[in-house]
Amino acid sequence: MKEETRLFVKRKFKEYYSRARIELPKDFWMREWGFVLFDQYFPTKLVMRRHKSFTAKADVVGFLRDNAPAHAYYSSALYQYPAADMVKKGLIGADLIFDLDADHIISEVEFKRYSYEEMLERVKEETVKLIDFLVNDFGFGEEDIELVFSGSRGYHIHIKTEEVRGLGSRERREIVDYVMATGLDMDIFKVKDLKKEKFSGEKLKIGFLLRPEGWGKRLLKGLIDFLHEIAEMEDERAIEVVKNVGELERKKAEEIIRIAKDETVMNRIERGLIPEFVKPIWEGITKTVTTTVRVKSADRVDEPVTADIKRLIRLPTSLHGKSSLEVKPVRIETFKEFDPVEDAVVFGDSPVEVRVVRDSSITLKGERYRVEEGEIASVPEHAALYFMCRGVAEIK
Amino acid sequence: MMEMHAGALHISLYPFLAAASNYVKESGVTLDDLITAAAFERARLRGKERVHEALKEGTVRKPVIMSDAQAEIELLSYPFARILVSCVGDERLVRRYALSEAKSAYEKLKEDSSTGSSADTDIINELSREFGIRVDFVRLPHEQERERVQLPFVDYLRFTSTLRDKRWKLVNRRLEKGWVKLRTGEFLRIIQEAIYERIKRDLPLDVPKALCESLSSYTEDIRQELEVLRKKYDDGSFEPSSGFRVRDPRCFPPCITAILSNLRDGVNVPHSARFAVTAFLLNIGLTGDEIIEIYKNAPDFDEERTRYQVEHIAGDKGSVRYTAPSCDTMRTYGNCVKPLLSLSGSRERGQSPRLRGRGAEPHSDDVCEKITHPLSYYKLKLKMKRKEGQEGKSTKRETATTKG
Repeated sequence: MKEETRLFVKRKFKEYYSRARIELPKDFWMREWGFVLFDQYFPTKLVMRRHKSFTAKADVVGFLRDNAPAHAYYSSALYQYPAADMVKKGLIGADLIFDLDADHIISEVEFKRYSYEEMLERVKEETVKLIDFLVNDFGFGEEDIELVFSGSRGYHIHIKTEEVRGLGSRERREIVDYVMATGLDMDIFKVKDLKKEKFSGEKLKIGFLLRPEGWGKRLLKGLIDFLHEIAEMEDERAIEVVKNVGELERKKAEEIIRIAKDETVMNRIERGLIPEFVKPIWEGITKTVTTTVRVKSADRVDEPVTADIKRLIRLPTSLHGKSSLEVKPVRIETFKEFDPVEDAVVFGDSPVEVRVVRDSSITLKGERYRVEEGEIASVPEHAALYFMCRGVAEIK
Repeated sequence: MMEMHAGALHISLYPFLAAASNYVKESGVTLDDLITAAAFERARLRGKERVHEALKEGTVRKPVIMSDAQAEIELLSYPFARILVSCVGDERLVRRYALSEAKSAYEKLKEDSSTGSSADTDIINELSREFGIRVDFVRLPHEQERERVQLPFVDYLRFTSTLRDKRWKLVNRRLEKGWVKLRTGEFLRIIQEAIYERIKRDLPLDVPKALCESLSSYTEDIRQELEVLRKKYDDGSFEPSSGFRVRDPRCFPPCITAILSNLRDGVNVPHSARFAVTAFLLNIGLTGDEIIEIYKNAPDFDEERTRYQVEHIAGDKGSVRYTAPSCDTMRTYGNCVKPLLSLSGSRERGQSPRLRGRGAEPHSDDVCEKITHPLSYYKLKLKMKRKEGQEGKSTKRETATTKG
């Protein structure tokens, strides 16, 4: 990035910070703050200035206005002495943070095939799944779940309730494992001893009871959806599908499809009473459901989503220096409609001339921009800033 | 003699409960009395016995309490046992003692609650109040419902994240709207963890030196017993028996040493730590059998399962399938002992960070600063030792290679 470009971007960021309403995190005075500035090292070397702390809201806002940082972070942890060296900070507790980034969710191989917009869409799907776990399994109220677009390739979720703050990293790891289905053993949800339920006189043999709670509930739903689906399929196709899932012979598969169309059996399955016939496809279903329902973290198992207590997380309502987009808080009710390349754009439309140094394209505010190396293009300010922050263009 | 009323006989079996220590406080028996008065000699002997049983059997026998006098002995023996443990001041003894008390309490509670009556509910309520665990009872929709108690997942995790059996993993639990369902027995097992944490929390106590010296007649045996155990484990478990080269426990990184020492003391070690230690030892050449031997002291040792797991990590014939985890990974799972980075954030455990500095708990050292992998630590340390050996007057030990 050329000096002129850097100064231009910085000036624009400054304008943003002087007009924006910055939202500070709960208990901000107990947090450590860190910033990457548009300094002479930027962006080749990102120097994080950390161990800062602020006692008044006006000080934070003042700092942002004066320095217009490229990146602004605060600690998920709360400290007694947030500005002290790591050793002397005195940990009090930490928010529960989930960082869903395209980097973690899409494997390297897949990455090249995705456009920026598609990538964001994929991460959104995972985020929706995670929220479902947090609300229905973990019982967090929607008001406790702060959802934020990261400003680049993902979403952050912050939970700041008193009770999660005391969780240690091991406990946090258990939460990650839960949403990622790590260590899941479906057999634990089966009740095999059904002596006390009266099934005598029933024609159909009940294999086991599946408790519709926790992961058991997700599995049961997956099974029911699957059976409904095959019941509605054209026969030949249904047989193929069932054969594949259970590695079955045709005859067996046909039988399963026949039963899937039987309403009384289906009613029973909805109550968790799983007939014997399901057994051959059980494992296949478990596998399919688990992989589709769990929150993915690509193949990088050692990349914890949230177990780390001491991490810095982007300040919501600040700007992301690699995209110029806002780190934007999103309400869960309107998450479906949220479109980052529309809603997180903060800069205006006045034309800016840029010199393109690398081929690139992006859709912002519904407009598609495609630029080629070497060309000089006049684009709206928000697109110009996006390309400059990405390192695709310089100011002319 | 103390004035006892109804519940006291029962309480004396659980002397670490707040109610029990209140009894002792209100009884007017002073510390001085407890330590010197002839009237309390039986309590003192029972106190010493508690520690002994813990060391030798890993359990503290629960006597049948028939009289107030007996209850008093049982009640007072507990603070005395804590004083003894503190005077010896050995971290392993602390862990082993706490674990034995907690385990025995669990067994007793399980026995008492097996009646399945409303007395069950009382015990559960009482214990959850005692340990600040929020608890609720499940109404029974089906008869075969065996889970009767439910806890908020945060309380559940506080005490189970170190338990290693997969059924304790949150992902395998019926978690609905923040509540985890448990059977009564499982609830009591969680209480065992809570008891363990509580007993261990402020041990060793700060006992004046002079006082400890006056108790040397009680502590001497304990020290000796401890020494015997130490010899048995320290020297025995790593002697090269299969002729592999370079295996010097003194060169192990502190994280590995810490896990090994927990295993030796029968402390529950999380799965990630077991994996780390197993992979590490396999990587440096221990055999599966030698490693299984180390796990024998774990609280829920199951030879067949351990063998299966060790062999899984070992891979097929000879080739080691897994490399020991890196320092980063160790840190993530809270298995690094580096003081700055292994901070446990949980309130319960966070309360006593000062204890971590005491006793024989291993810490990271200078070598840790130079490496990013426990195996590199070991290699580097071996190299340094060898150098020392050559430069020094050469009392060469077995650190040099023997056979291949």
